[in-house]
Amino acid sequence: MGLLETIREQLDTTDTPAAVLATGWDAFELIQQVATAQAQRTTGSYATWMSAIPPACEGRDALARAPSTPRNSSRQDLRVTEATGTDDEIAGGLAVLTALLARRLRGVASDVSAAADRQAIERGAAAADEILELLRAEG
Amino acid sequence: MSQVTLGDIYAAAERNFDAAEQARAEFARTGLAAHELHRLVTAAARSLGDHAPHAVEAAAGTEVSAWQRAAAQLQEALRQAAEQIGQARENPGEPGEPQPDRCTRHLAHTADALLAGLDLLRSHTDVGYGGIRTGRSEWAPLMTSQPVISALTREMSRWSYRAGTLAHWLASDSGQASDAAHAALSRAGTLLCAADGIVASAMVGDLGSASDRDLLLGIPHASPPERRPPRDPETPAQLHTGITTSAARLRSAAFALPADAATSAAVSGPAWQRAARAGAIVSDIASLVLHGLAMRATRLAGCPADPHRLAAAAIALADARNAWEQAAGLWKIMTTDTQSPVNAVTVEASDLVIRMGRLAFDNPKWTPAIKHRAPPVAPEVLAPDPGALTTVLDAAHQAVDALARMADTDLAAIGAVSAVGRLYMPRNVLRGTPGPAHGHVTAPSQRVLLLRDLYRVVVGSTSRAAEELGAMVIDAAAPSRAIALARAAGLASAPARHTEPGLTLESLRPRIRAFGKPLDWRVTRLDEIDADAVVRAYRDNHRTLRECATQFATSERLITIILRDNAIPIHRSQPTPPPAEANQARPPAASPAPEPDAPARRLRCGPVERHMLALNVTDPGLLLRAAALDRASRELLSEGAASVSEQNPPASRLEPDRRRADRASLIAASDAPPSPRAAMRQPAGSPEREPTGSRSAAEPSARKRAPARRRALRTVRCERRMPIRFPRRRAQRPLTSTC
Repeated sequence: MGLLETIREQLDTTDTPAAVLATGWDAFELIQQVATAQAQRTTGSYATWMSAIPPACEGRDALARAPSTPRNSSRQDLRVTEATGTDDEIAGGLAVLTALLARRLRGVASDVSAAADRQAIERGAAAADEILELLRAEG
Repeated sequence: MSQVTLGDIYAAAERNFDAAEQARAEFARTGLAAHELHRLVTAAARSLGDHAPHAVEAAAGTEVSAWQRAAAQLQEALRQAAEQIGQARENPGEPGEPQPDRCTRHLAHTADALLAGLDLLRSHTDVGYGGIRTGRSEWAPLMTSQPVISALTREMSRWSYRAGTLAHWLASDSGQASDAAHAALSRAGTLLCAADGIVASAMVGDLGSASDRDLLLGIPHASPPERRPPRDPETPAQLHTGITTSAARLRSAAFALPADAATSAAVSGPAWQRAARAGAIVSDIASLVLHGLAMRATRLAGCPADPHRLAAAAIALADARNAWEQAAGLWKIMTTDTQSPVNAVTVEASDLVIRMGRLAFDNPKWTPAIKHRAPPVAPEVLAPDPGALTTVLDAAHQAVDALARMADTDLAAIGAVSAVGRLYMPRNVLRGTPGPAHGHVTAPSQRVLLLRDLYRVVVGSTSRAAEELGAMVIDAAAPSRAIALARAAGLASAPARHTEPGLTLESLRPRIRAFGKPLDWRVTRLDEIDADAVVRAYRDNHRTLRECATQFATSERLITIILRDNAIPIHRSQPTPPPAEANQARPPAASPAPEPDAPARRLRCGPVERHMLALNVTDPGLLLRAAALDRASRELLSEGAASVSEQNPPASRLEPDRRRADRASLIAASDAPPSPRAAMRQPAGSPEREPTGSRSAAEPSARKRAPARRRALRTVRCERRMPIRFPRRRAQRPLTSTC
């Protein structure tokens, strides 16, 4: 999954709060789209994927409200129509991304001064925790 | 612990009354027992009084149904019996006096139980300023419905008879009553026993049904049970109890939602998204469960449900799941000013998801997390015997009914929120620019309309599934049949508000696809538009070209092409008839009544209304009731005069049933206040005149009169040509001439 790898690499390498917020927005949007697609085609994990959509949307919208999030209109248009792999493989890949997202968001929380930024980051991190709990494998 | 129902309380009353009868040998004091009997009869009267029509008007009137008349007459009989019993009672003694005997104690518990039942019925309504009742639960509209009042009347008539036999025993067989108490208790006993007969005869032909009684006895208290968070592990019986509790709490939380939705912080886009997600998951799980039950029903001897009906309900739930899923999808974009993802509804809905999952999947710790994923429970394990199948069916019905209630209230709350402009969409979505939102704008009306149309589809599909499950639950006599009966009774009294021919998920798909597109986005390919749906909308639902273009998110040009391809004539100036809903909602224009001048109005009024006006009463509600009393009195007197004026003795000509039915009405009429004019003519110190009703009944023997039939016709003519004034006659002028 090229887009997943791209966003994960960006999250790993970005060092400014604005970049983390912007990439975090992309990550939540990707998770929301993949969960929506998987909910349509899965047979045994419908509840999992449907439950992942609301926190993904809430995390995305929380980061969008942060004043430090760039309003760059030339951002890549994320479009995910179908993910390849089994439910477990896709969930595993998204779980890794979500864990990284939660860690990076908490990492930049101390670097921002605006209260609105901190609040948005906290809500984003909480949403990421909820998604991680849904998608994480045993252990 | 499950919710207490009216049936539980009445069962306790029955047990205590039976115990009181068995303890008659220990009976000691008539006065104390009469005190408890008075409480019992008063409780029965008040149980009817809150919900039945006013006794005097309905008892005397001719335009009420059999069950309304029976309820009113029984209420009046109970009231009068209570007055009689009150003359024989003693108040309970001071502290230190010996305890009442066992019989009296059980009577006291019986009265307490009936009063508790009254409190349970009252818990569903609040009485506000001016005595206006407002509902506190989804059961409130049923409190005054025909099935409930009919069943309540029969129940209270049974108590009336039992109280009557006890009153007779206290009067004579107990050997304790004084002469005055004996007379009062005897009169009360006669009234109470006769009341039962009055109800039975008044409701001949309206036998009611066992389902009416099931509905009445299944009414729960309005306060929901305490929350029971899911814990590990739970037995199937505990799961059923937990689902029942979560469903009751969800219904209660959903009922409270629309009341102040326009300004409430509890409603929010994220909360609605989570609720819709829960609706989709529960519908999906319930569909899976019903498929399993359908498979099991084909191999289970003595199965209480038909496998084909189970399979049909499973398909209906799949439709409901799809609709909820689409609703959750719209909330990914649409939002509100408030952003809290949690409210009372989402908490209960989440509990319901977990318990339904643990019922359906082979993991007692099941949650939506992928690590708890498990295969479905095998059908033979899910329903090893007919009783277990009924339990699982009941649980599914509880969950789906709660979802249907939630959908209904969500639709109402969304309407309230949209009316005050609290729905928003991201600006960048409407402009077609990707990336994080550049702020939000008020949602365009077309997108709001789609959201409401989609929720109408959600309500319709979920309600249909609930009705199918409810029918099976009633047939199987499952625990939640009262809820199914309530839904059926609610549907019978209120027409479907949310269904529109042609409004299906399929017909909304083009608009759903356009929901997250820029404002100017349109469907441009013919093969993306459902041509049959366009034809139905234009030809059958009489939509205009513009309305069809809006509905299908395309241009008028493409709509025209589709219609021409299907040989549908196009009317450029086709008027759109107003929707049926709007016609029903709009009240008929009331023709302004000319304001009569006060003196003329007074002369046209009956005695009760004239008396009210003389007291300077201006409350229109009271004056209407007074006019109804006068009209009912006139009609009753016409009937009485017609029967009395015949040659044969009137009593022998009347059918026994009608004689008994009219007795209570005459009792009520005798309580009517006398004519103020008659009161003014009465010389000082003369004995009090008889009430007008009885005086009029005695009139035919006092002077020459036209035959009764002609007089009755004259009465009718008089009423048709209002206003009219008859020439003054001597003193004893019948009420029928005062039109």
